[in-house]
Amino acid sequence: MKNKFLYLIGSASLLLSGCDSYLDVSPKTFFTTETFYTQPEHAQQAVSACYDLLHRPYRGVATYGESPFFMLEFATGMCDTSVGQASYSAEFREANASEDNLYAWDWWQSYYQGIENCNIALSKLPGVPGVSQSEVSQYMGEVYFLRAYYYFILTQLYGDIPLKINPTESAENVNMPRTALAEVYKQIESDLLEAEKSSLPNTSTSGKVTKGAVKSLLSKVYLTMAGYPLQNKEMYAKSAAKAKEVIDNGWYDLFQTLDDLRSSKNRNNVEHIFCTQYAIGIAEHALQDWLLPRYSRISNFSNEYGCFYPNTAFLTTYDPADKRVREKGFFYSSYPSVDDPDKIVEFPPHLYKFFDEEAMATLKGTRNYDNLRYADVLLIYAEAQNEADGAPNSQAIECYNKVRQRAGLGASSISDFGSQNAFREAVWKERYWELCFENQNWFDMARTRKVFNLKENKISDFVGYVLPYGDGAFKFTEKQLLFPVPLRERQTNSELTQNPGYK
Amino acid sequence: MEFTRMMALPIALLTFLPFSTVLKAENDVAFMVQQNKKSVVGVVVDVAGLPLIGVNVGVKGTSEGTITDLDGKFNLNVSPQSVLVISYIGYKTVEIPVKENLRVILEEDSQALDEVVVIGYGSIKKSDLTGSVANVSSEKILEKNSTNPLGALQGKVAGFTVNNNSGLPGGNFKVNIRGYNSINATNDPLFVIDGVIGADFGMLNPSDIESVDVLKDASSTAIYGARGANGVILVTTKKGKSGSARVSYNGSVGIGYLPADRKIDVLNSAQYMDMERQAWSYKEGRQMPDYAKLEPGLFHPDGTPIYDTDWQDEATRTAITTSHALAITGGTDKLTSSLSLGYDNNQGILLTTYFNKYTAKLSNSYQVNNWLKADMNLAIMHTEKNDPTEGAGGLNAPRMLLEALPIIPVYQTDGSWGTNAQHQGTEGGENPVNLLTNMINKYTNTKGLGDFNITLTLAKGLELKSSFSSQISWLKNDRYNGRNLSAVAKDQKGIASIATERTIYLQNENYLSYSHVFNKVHSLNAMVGASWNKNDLEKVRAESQGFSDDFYLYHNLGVGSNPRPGSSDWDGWRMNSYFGRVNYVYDNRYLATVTFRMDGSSRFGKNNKYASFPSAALAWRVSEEGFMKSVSFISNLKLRTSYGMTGNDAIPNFRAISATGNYTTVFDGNRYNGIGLGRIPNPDLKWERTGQFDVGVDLGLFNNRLNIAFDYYYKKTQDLLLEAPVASTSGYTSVMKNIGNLENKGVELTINAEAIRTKDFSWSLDFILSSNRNKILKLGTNNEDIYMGPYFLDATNILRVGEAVNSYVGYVRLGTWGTAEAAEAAKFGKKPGDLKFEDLNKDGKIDAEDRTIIGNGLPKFEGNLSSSMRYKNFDFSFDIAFRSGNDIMRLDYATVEDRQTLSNSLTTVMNAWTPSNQNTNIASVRVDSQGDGSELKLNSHYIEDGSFIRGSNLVFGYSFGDNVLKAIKLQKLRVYVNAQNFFLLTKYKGYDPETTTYGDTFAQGVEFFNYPKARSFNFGVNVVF
Repeated sequence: MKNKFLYLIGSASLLLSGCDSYLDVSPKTFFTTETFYTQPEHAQQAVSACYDLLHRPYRGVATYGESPFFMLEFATGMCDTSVGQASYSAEFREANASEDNLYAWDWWQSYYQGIENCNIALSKLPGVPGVSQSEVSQYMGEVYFLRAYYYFILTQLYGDIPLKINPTESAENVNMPRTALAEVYKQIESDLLEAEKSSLPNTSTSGKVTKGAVKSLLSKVYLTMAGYPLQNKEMYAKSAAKAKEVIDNGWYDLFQTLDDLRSSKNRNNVEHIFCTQYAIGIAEHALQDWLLPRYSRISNFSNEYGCFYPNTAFLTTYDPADKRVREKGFFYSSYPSVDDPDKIVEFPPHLYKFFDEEAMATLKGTRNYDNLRYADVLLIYAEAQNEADGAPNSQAIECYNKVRQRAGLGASSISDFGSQNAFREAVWKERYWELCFENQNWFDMARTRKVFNLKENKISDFVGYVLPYGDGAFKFTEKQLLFPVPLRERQTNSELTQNPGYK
Repeated sequence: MEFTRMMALPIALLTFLPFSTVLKAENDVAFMVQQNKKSVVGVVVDVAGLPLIGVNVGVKGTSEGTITDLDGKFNLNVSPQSVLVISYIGYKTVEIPVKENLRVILEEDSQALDEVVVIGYGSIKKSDLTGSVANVSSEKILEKNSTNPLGALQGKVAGFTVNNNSGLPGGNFKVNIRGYNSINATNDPLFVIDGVIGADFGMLNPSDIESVDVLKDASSTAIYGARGANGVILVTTKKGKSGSARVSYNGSVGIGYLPADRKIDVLNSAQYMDMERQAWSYKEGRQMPDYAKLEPGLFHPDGTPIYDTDWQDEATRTAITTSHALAITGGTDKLTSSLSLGYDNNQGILLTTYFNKYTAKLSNSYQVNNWLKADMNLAIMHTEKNDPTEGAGGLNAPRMLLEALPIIPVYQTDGSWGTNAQHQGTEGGENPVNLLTNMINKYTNTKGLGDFNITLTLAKGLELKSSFSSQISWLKNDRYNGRNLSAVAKDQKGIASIATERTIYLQNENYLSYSHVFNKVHSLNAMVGASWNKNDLEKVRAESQGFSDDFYLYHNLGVGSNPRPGSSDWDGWRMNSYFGRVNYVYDNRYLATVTFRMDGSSRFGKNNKYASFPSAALAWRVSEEGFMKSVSFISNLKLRTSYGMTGNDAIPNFRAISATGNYTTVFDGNRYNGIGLGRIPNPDLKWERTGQFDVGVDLGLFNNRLNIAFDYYYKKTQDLLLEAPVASTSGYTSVMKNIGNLENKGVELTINAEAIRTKDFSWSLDFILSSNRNKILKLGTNNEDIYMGPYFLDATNILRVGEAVNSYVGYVRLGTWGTAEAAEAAKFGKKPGDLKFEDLNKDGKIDAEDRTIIGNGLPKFEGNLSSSMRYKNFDFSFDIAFRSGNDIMRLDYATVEDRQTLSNSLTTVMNAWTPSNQNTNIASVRVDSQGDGSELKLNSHYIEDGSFIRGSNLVFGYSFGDNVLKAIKLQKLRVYVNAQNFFLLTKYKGYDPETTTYGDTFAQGVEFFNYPKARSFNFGVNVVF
């Protein structure tokens, strides 16, 4: 009997002797935050992660060829669509966006994700072993630039936004209130100045951040700070100075022809200052099939969406002699059928600016997307100098002419502009004609609180502008000067307030 | 010495050492040889004098034996000194010495219900059960011709819902017990097959199943602790029986087809052209193009369409199904064995779809000596399935079944496939015959389930059981999408991929059990044990695009001109548990059970590695009380109640720790991999805890010919695992957290009645009814609504405090704006003929805040009525299932009703708004390609009542009599015909109200073009040699 008791105790103790480490299973397919940033190679990877979020606005978010990219275009009131079902696009087109519009969420979320990748990289890069001082400096420069870029876009879209520059440590207490715009801009400027000091190369065809990009973005940031809502007028001079630096350094030039500008073969050279990078099989976008005329059979793409095309009123504002408005400049209205090359398919003018012959063969969109290009910098200089000095100087006229001359238009001289305002409005119009549908025009509208009144071919006030379609039903108010803080974000973060008009 | 030997065994077991030397310790007793045999005939009857069929008649101390035939008779060759052991479930076992012309009268067991019920880590007399456990026998399982045994469990247990959500061969099953306890972890119950936890029930051949026990209340499930919250289903497979060998064969062949009454009405060619003409007139002065000129391949010169294709006819077929199952069982009193083989070949009613299943199983049990028994079960399954219908949301075959235009031919005159792209302005979907033919999506699944266990009898009533089990699974998915499939693989010029997934699960469990009756009235059962589990999963995937020819399919990825990056993955978890149970019965009247389990899991945060799950239950067998003896019509009355905690740990692995995420960017045209933020850690992450209270009554009347069981339960789940949204300014969008509570409460009623029981005629009825109410009590930190997938147009589902899970969210469709309301419509930016939605918050615009809960996919109640009748050699049985109060969100309406001319539409669009037909809820028809614009919003019009009454199964059989059987030397020969889904009464206008096309947790009832369900008829045969 005694033996049996012993047995019971013995076996029970055996049964109950587990070891704790049995339950410790380590992941094999990913690092944890503790185990990464420990090898020299990790530094480049941490930086690469910061770039990736630039792709996000150009991917689809919903079924019907909808993309955050379209938000900034439909919000200008300059485009139409063939996709009746694209409700996210339609809301912006009709100046009636709601706070649960997925585009507004996607910009917000993806750029804050980019910012957090930057925050992590900036905190970890100095500690990664085996990376030289100058390498760290260059990496940091890239990341500072990217963080500034993400914040710059976000603050223009949403106004006051939470400013967060340190990595998140835990999921607790992550709610933040909005930070005043001026504070956000201060951080953007400081990040860009850090990047400017770093050992970035002046230019590069790799697609990485360069000093040229940093200075170009600085000029753009200063110009924006000088406009609404900060109206920090002394920034015009700073903007002009930075743009001048870029121009005088001779790092960039305009492409000779519009075809060269359009060509997907020209990557990160000549006029392309900073682009979102694509390559077949690695990162592809759907801009090509989105922009093709709807089911027109001019390509082998299964879906030719016709997501957006320019409002005809916009095209009529161009000088008929302008190469940009002529067939296969920035637009086209006919193309051979893919079923029968002798048959020419005709359609209302669609955007040709991004048309990529290569993609028509590969059926993969790989043309880089411009975030900063030299024509923009030339026009920034023209505008900022005119504002800073009260009248255009010859270099400003030269910049303005350069853009127009490529379009086959004649040169103007100072005397052609009777006043500071005449030149101001001429440059603004030029920005629409040159930079149209590149996600730039809406930012100009917001900072100037002016619109290009298409029907009257003149610059008008933003507030009160009646859109050229919809029989007068769609009108801009102050509400449209900002995008809605995403509903999803406000439901999660109770400290966030909504922009006027959206609630 | 004895002590040393006994210690050696568990040590050997627990340290995985070989123990063959130990087994030699005692000599086995060889088989005895019987002499001087003579033939004995007899009959076994019950107290009423009615023959009992299938009674075991064994010879004591030998492996010999037989079973009684249809007349209760048996015939045995035995020695005159033998003692016969006559046993039958539900009756007292009788031992009787051999004599001539035996007439054995079996009395029903006074305990009446002394069948044994399997519970976790042991079994128990049904009369001693304190929890809510339902049993399904092998006969019931075999009644339904289901390839997947889950199909056979439909409608068998109250509170156990089995949804077969698709007509896909092999089925698409979703099961749950007593409502939904979880939002992000699984709601699937835990299956335990022969002790192997988490084994795949679907892999079994239904013929191999002996019984299925469904554990519902916490006192039964808490022994499975952190995995028990959704209920536990214990499966016992067939084992060998001592006695003469028995060879049985079950075979069937059948057909299935899309029933004409379930076809969906879509426009024919004439109707389509009328509709399109009307759509062109949406804008004044606009004319439909001259298609006779533009599309001469589709139109006669007079403009009428050449073709009128019925795609539901073209893409479906009469599907043939065959099934074979062979089993051989037998053994001696020392060694019993069961071998079986199964083969099923199911065609689907959509062209090219099929499901084939091969199974093999071996079970051996060896009573080595009086203290050592060893068992081994091995089951292997291999299935092959082709499912080119995946991809809900895209232009897949089930969608094109309705969306392919009637004016398009299957083949064009040049032999190429007809396609919607032939007609201008359409979305250009491929026709469904083409899709089914040129998309290959093949799944091969090979699984092995093995279980080796030994039982040591250490002393009278004291046993140690040690088991080593494994389930190995190898899943392979081969896909090829043809080069010419527009919007599928045309842009890529063919897409081929191969993906494999290998899972290895290992389990070791050891437990001691002790049972003893003290002083004749104190009956004690106790058990204590420990368990170690380990699971590893590996995935590999490769894809290639750009093929010069469809010839290669997925067999040669290397020839693709555009190889995609390969990928691999690994995942794993460990669990370590300790458990125990005490079951005490006083004088067969008062019963108490206490269980305990402590689970540790690698999945959870370092602050919460282990958790405990206790339970307790009490029962009172009122019928055993003295004062009840006089109430003769009550043969059994038991009241029982239980409370316990169970858990749910089924969340993805590694969610408690931080993780980096993968990013990709391009420099110099080359890939640069980025590593950035992934997941944010939550070291407090732990299991969901469900506390469940149950009170029930079991009532047996008229000698247990009428049995009624009723249960009420209340379950509250706390610490819901939630992918809780966090402010995305943190960089992250969500973190897995334990926040939220919900409850389920319900009632279950089971009635079994043996209405008639005579020699020639018997009739029994089984009725089950259950009703569950679910309510969310707390969500997240601020009780904020959570919108959930499936996503179509928008999130279809919402979680809201005070409401049930599986709620659908959307706008309220009031109808259409009329001409008289033009001014009012304009305020909303709408025109007459547009859809009219309700401005719930009266703010003058229709936006997200006007969304509300528009339906719920959970039924108010559901049940099943089964009837089994036998008259002489004929048998007839049927199952009628019913469900009420569940809504279906039929998303198809968005594309086949609310928008037009991109594809075909439902005939309902003929009732679209026109100035002369304004009283309609269908907007005026439009030409999408002309930018007319249709408003697509999730709305109340997409909600339909999914209540149904279904004739799920009907069997008519004939068993040949003894004369025939003797002549052809068979023990049993039965032929039958079986009809499945033989009628369906429902208001639902889609194919079938048991539906979902999505995998999301609460997608039940959310449909976007499902695979239609067949009506089928089978002819089968059961043979026993």
